Formats: sequence, structure tokens, C-alpha cells
Amino acid sequence: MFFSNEQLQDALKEFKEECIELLDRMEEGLMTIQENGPSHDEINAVFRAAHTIKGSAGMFKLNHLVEFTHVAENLLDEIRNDNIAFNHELIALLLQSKDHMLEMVLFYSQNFGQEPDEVIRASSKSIIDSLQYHLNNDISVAEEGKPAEKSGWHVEILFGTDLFEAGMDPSNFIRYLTRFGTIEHFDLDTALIGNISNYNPKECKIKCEFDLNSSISEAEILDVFEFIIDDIEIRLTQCLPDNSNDVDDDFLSDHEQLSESSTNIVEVSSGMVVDSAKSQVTSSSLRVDSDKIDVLINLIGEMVIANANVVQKSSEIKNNELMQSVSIVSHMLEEIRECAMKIRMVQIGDTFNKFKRIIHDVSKNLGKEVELVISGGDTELDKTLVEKINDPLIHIVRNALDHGLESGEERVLTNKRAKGRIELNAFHDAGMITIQISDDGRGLDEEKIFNKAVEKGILDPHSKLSQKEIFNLIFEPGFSTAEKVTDLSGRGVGMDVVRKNIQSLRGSVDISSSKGKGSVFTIRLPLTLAIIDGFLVRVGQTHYVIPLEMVLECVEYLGEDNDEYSGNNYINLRGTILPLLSIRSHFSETHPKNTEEKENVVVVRSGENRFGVIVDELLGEFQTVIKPLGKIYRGVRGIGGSTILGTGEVALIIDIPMLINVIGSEHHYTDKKG
Amino acid sequence: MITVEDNVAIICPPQELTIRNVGEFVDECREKAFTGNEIALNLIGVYEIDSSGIQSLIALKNESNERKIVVNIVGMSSEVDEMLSVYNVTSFMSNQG
Repeated sequence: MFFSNEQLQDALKEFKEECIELLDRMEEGLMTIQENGPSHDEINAVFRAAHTIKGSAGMFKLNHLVEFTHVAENLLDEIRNDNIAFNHELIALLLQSKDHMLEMVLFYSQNFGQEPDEVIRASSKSIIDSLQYHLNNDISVAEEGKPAEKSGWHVEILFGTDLFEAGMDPSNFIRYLTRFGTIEHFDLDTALIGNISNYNPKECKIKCEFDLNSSISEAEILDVFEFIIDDIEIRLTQCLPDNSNDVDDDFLSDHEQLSESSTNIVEVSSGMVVDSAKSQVTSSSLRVDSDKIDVLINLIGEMVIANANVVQKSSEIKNNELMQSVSIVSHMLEEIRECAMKIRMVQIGDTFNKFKRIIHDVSKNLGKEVELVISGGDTELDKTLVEKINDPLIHIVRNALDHGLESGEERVLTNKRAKGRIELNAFHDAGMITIQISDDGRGLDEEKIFNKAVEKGILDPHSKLSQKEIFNLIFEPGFSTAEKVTDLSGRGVGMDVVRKNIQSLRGSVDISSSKGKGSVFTIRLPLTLAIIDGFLVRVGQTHYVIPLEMVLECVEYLGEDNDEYSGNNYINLRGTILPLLSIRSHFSETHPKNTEEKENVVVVRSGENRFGVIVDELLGEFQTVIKPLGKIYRGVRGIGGSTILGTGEVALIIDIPMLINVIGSEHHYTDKKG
Repeated sequence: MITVEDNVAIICPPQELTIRNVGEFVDECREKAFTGNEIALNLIGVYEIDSSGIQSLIALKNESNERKIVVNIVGMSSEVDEMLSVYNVTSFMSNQG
């Protein structure tokens, strides 16, 4: 066995992740072709994805996956050679093939060493039959117009001296080549290996040449060596099998050159020279298990807490030199924290792109024509958040497709374009990421929602609710206005889960809608779930942290300015009415207020809402490691988590969006000009 | 791993002859393999072999040829046989130098 068990598991995990990425790329390419028509770049990208998956699967001897992908790859090869024209039917078939490949990748990642069961095999056969049908029937280019058929290659390879230590075995690559054809006249340069008394057993001294009787292209041969292309010298000469004597005798004469050369050359007989340094451009990133980054971030979190304790102690000792050193360490720690958090940041574009496929499939099922517009795909947020927001987004988009957008006929009758439109947009705002899903459909029907809520017993018929509150009823458990339940949505079990999932990420979801014009779902999420910059305040004996990016400014609270306005506290802030919330009264702080101490107002913002939080003391910026709340605090609205201070005390993190919802539902305040 | 009887060095490489342990095998060969005038190479017990292992056997054979020491392969596992076939060196290893 070439790998140890542990190495095999790691390699399999990497294989699975790589395949999922490549399959996503394949899907993205197919969807782009569907949208914009075929382009050579996209077709090549799809072909390369399939080809790389086949190559990787071959390394693990995942035969069924190799066989299946080989057929799909053949079809793609004919397409990219302009022998078969792309059409919607082919795109659908290739998307189906991609889904099936994913199914097999997942199977093998969990059942290594086994071949797929009958169900998977039956699906494979059915899809292969369809692929084969197109391969046999769609080729339109006349046979006589084709270039002369390739009969074979003479291959010369010098493997790099460091290959063994890199965990690579040349024999695996040679064996793999036999999948494409037969190997003849294999000649290993045994003299290069030398005598046992004076050679280094850890160095690879494999230099060989052979004839490969196969019709594969040079690119396909080079792809076999893709993983080690920087560590080998290879020459391919296209020839008949008996032409092997024509090869230059002086090729690869200097073995030492390879280990010393930083830009080895991959040379092919056509005269094309590929500088392998170019291929390194695409491999400047490093794939790291996200669990390892989680461990790093947790450790940094613990360091931040420990450092807060050091800062506290040093300020008690009041030694200037010590305080200066501690300050330097704190600053560096902050930079380390920022760097570590950036590692976890990924663009949301990849998630958005997956919706092309969902919209393609769902709109086809529903018989609706839908256009998807994506913007802000380069907006970054924490990887964990990207993963967790995926399901809520899918649900909202499916709802928009199913209930939001009207049928083509209905749209034409209301003077709209027959093709519906769904927009996905993301942007950063006030230290949070905002994701908007909008449609130009029929919009939410306030009356219908209200009546449905009454009918379901969620609402008293005499209730007086604002438009926003009525819209928010769709997030109530068991609520559904769909007249018929489809397999897409309308079961009333989704939107409450959507809201819960978003809230569990310390986020919020809002709806705005205009009847006949469409709806906008706005999701606001924190950028990260682990460590944030906070603003530490005190009320009574309790410390609270407000996310710093939501803090606009702090002003002194003058009690005499306090007045009643529509039943709410407010202040006049430079001509603007600013609603106030007293933390003391909201969280029922029992410790008496120090009458000599002047209170302060922290002005905060979330989305379009602004309000002031009254606190006893402002303590300044604080690196906040977010810790989950204990069970008894989970029901407290307005608290999103906790953190540990340098003194070891616990501070509560205020969830500003939640607090705004709480105040909003208690008092319908508005931010008015004074 | 290597014993010498009647001027014959009997070499029985370990079950695993790969990059992980090939260094020890090579060291022992350097020390004892050429102390007789014949080598009996018993590869029957080698269940795992990679290219570095094959390389060490070829290096042993190269030096034996140079020293004009006969190498007789007295046993071979299917794993070694397959690897020798991949590199097409079965006859090279069997030929008398």
C-alpha cells in the first residue's frame, strides 16, 4: 500500500473537496454557456474539470467514477473540437452527469474500497447510454475532414530527484498510463541508478522511455502527470509504434540539471514549449483543512482573553515599561487576530452562482421564464456563515420563484415582461453584511397574510399591526398562504426556520414589499462569528459589549433634555430626534444608579435604524471573543452572546439588530427630523 | 536480513521495502551483501514495494555485476514481480552479470 491509513483518509478528504470544487466549476461553466452561449474558454473549463476529476479518481482506483467520467469527457472533447454542437438538451444531460459524479464522489469518500451499489450503477448506465447516444449520433463533421488519426506516442521521462520524499511514486503514473493504451518497449535507465555503495536511496533516479500505443492527445498525457509536472522532464513524440528509434539520443542527458533548475521545461515534439513556472501562478494558494483554522482562531481567542488579563494586571501594577511592552504585545495580537480572521473570509459569489442552477431547474419545473441578476459577488464574509446561510437563501429564492413570480401569462396581463427577474445582491454595511433577495413578482398581499394569520389562530382579528409586522407574520411557525402545496415550498415549515437560522447567526431578516411590484428580503449578518471589535460599557455592576462597527458616536446624556415623545424617550441630537433605550431599565438592572455619575448615550446604527443606548460608563474599545450564552440567557432578547473580561468577569454582548426589533415591536418609533 | 553462509550472502529484504525503510536495507547491503562471492536474493517475503525499493534492488544488481558477483533470485512475491514488470527489469534482475 502506498499510503498509510491516515494519509489515505487525508488524501480522500482532499480528493472529495477538490472534486466538489471542480464539479461546482463545471456547473458554473454549463450555466454560463446556457446563459451566454458556448465559448471556447467555458467549454475548456468544463472539459478540464471533468478531466481532472477522472485523473484524480484514477489515482485512487475509483474505477466506476473513472469509467463514467471518461464518457462524459469524451462528449465534452467532441464539443470542444466543434464536432458536436451544444444545445439545451446536452446542457441538461451534462448537468445530470455532474450531479451523478457528485453522488459517486460522496459515495467513494464514505465507502473507500467499495464499488457503488446497484442504484448508482443503474443511474450510471442510463446516463452513459444517453451520453453515448449523443457521441454516436451528433458528430456532424465529415470523417474525411478530420485530421489523421493518432497512432501513438514515444514518451521519455526523467522524474525529479525529490519525488520519493514528496510521497510520489513514478510507478503509479506509469501504471495509470496503461488505462489509455498499451505500453511497449519500456526501457528503464538502470545505469543512472548507479551502485548501491554510492547512491542515496531517498533520491529518485528513474529515467525511462517507452511507446504508448494510444489515440489520446499530448494534453491528456501531460494531464496524467499534472500533480508532478514541475518535478519531471517529459518529451512526447507523436509517431507510429515502430518509430521509437527516431528519438534524440541526447535527450535528458544531464540528470543533475533537474534538481538544480528552478524552471524546468515540459517539452513536446510539436515544438510547443510550456514553461512550468507559468502553471505555478494558479497554485499560489494553499488548501488547508478549515478545522485547523478553527483551532487557530480558538487559540487566538483564548490568547485575547489571557491578554486582557495581562493588560488588567499591568495597569494595576502601574509600571510604565511593563505597560508599554504589554501594549506592543496587544497590538501585535490584534494584527494576528485580524490576519487569522481574514483566512476564513470567502467571497459570497460562489454561493450566489449556485443559484443559477437552482433557478434553471426550478423555473423549468414551474414553467416560468426567470432571469437571475447577481451583484456584489465579491463581498466577503466568514466561511462558516457562508455555509450556514446557504439553506435560508435557497428557501427564500425558491419561495420567490414559486409564490413571488407570476406565470408568464399573468405577467403579460399586468403589463410586465413575461420573463420574471430575481436579483441577489450583497454588500457591507455598518460592520455587517447585507444580502438582498428581490423579485419583480406580485409582492406580498397584506390582507391575505392578515386573514391567513387570523384563520390559523396566530393573530387576534382585532389586532392593529403595521405593514412590516404583517409581513413578518410569514415567519411565524406553521404559516403558509400558498393555496396549493408544491414540492418546492408552501408547506409552512420553511420561513420560521429561515428566520431562526438567521437569528442563530446573530443576524436579522426584513421584508419590504409592494403589491404588484415585487418583494425584497434583506438579510443582515455579522461578518464573523468568532472575535469582534467591541465597545465596552457599564451599567450598574454589569458590563456590556456593543459591536464597535455599529457605534456611530457617544454623547453625554443630559437628563434635563429628556422628554416624552409619543410615549418614548428621545433626545434632540443636532436637530435630529434620536430614540433612546435605557439598558438599565430594559435589562432590569437592580444595582442603584450613582446619582453623581453622568450617564452617556451610545449612538448605534443597524441598517437604516439609528438609536441611542443609555449607559452609566464608557470603557472604550475591547477585543471581544464571542462565547455562547448559557441556556438560561438564551431567551433574553437583545443579548447575542457573552465574553470574558481581563478581570475574569463576564460581559454580555448586545445584539443591536435584535434590540431594534424589540423596541420596534414595543413602540413604533420613527427616526424623525426635529 | 542478510546472513552469509558458505560464501553466499542470503538477502531477505523486509516485508515492506519502501521509501520509509529502504535506507536501512541499503545500509545493510553495503555492509554485508558483498562479503561472499554469490548473492541469493529471496524476495518471497516482500509484500509491499515501491519505486525506491525497486531502485535499491537495481543498485544492488548493478554493483554485483561490477564486482562480478552472481545474484540468484531464489524467491519472488507477486508484488515484486508486478513492480519488476512495470519497469520491465525482470530479465535484467535475473540475468547473470
